[in-house]
Amino acid sequence: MNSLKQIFGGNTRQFGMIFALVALVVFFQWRTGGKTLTSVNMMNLFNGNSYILILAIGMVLVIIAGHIDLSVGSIAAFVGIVVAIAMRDWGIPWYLGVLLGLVLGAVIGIWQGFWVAYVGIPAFIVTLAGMLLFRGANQSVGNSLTVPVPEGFRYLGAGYLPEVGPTTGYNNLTLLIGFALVAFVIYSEFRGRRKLERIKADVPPMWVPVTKVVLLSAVILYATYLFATGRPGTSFPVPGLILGVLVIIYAFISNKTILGRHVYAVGGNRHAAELSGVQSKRVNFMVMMNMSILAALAGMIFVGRSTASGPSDGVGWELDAIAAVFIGGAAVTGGVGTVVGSIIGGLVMAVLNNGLQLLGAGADDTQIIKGIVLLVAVAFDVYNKSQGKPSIIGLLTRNFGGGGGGAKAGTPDPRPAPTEQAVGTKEVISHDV
Amino acid sequence: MADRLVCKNSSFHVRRGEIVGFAGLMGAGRTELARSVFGRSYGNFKSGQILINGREVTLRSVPQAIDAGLAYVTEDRKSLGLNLLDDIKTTTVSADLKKITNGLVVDKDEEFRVAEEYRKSLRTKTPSVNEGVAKLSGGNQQKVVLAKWMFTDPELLILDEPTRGIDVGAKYEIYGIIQKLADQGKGVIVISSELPELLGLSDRIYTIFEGAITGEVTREDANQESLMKLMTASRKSA
Repeated sequence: MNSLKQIFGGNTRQFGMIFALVALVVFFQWRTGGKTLTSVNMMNLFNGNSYILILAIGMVLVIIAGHIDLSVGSIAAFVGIVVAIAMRDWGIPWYLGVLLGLVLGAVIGIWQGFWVAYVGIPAFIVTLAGMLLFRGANQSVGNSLTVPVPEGFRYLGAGYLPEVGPTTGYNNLTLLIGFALVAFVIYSEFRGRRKLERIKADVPPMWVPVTKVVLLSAVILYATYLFATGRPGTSFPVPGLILGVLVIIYAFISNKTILGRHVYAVGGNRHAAELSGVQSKRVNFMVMMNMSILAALAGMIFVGRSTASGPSDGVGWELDAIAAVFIGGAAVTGGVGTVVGSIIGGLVMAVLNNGLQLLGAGADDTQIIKGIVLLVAVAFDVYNKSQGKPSIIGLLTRNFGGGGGGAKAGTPDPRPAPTEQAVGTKEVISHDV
Repeated sequence: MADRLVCKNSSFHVRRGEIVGFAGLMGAGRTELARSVFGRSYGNFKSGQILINGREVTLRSVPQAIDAGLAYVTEDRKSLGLNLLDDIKTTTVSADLKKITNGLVVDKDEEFRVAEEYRKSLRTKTPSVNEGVAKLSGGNQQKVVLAKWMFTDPELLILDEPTRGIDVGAKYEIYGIIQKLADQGKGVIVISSELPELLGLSDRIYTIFEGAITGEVTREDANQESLMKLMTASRKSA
């Protein structure tokens, strides 16, 4: 136990959420008799959830900024049908279709962002209206019919990395990505170590980072192995790749850029942010617009996967995305949350869903269990806060490359503000002048 | 609801290295006046001009005001001055992030170094700059807010009730910081309801009553009684 603590040291919190996820995977692996960790199932898991996870990336930024977006499912469906019809009737190639979808998403985002940021209508109302509006628009444009999409477009949602290079018995590109990730883990661990040495902090003994890197690499390599050895023609799924790239980009933006800092500042205290030179209207506009663009992308990926766009695509997606974000440690009041935390929250939901299906549980039981998990995860967090302990989920996700996603202020100000004392003031004045 | 003119006929100047006091009763329009100057962040702008070093500048927004060298420390620390979810280092650099950003990335080493520097020079009592600002006492919170604005390298600092809700020891330290800022050649405006504080700190004092400046008194001429008369406008004077 002690050595475990040393390996993860102060980072126990950092790994806590992953531990929960791993525990869940192990549990289902055991209960399903090994059906969980198979190539086919892992690919299904990624293919079937990547669009929700992409929504969660946008949603966490919206929620950090103190808003909510209920319209993402309808926007995804509307963009999906417009793109499908454009490709069918105008005969445009699939990549122009993708571009058209993203532009349409941006236009919708400008519409919603305008009402939220510049008119000042609560995002809940604006996006509730958007939910109805774009659902209706989807059914009006498509006459409530299902419109198939061409082969190239399907690659976006159901494709796999192609086979290139020499025949190794594995998928070469998947192997490459796996090895690159391992290299990155090693590099960042030792870069962090050098930094610790530079500021002369306590540097843990050498075997600690080595064990950590070995463990992480083992997990990555095992996943790589699973994805690289699926049945012929399958490998790491394209939606998973898109998701991975987006996670890296958005974790970077939220954690390391001025824009990211401003999103947290606006969500934490809008007025204070404004008086510190943050243009909160622009920030609100950006997060709402960004959400709609990601919703458009998620919609297109789903259409690609299901090979056709239909009138009831994306129903309830907003709720899955919001659940992922809150399980991932965001606060309803804004200012708290991380991109990676939300992805892990989404994965917890996805693994639960998948495992329960493998166990043969019906949709009814699955929904009940998911509801309970959401409630318990957030209740546990709230309980800890009210006890004056730091928020567990907040702590768990704090170091997840998400910047200010720290624990919400645990203890109230220990000292009540003392009243002003004229006597003291006089004394001081005579000193000072 | 009818529009109400909250500030009118208010003209004032601040020299470098000077501490100017704004005396007035609560609700006299002191904060409104200060925030009107600070990027028109209060109400709707009607008319007025700002001269810096004799040149007229137009400050339509808070970022413009910050760039022009203005800083405004709010009266209400917890609801307007701080993001209570943030830690000390994030807060310290929050008003001028560009300064520690190279290209695109916020330099976290530099952030830590800056925060540490201000923690030492302002003697903020905290175990570490990674601590959340919500855990600090009022006085130490105010020091963090001051650090945040000192980091923007302002020419003119407007401090709105800088010692409200702060214990005696911290008050003394904050007076010291204000003096030091003036010694560095910065202009400082102190808005306060406490006359002894203003009499002790300021080189000149303006009095404000019902949104208008009713008087200007040098330190030598000022005493509580004459200020109070101007603040309640029972006697007009130049």
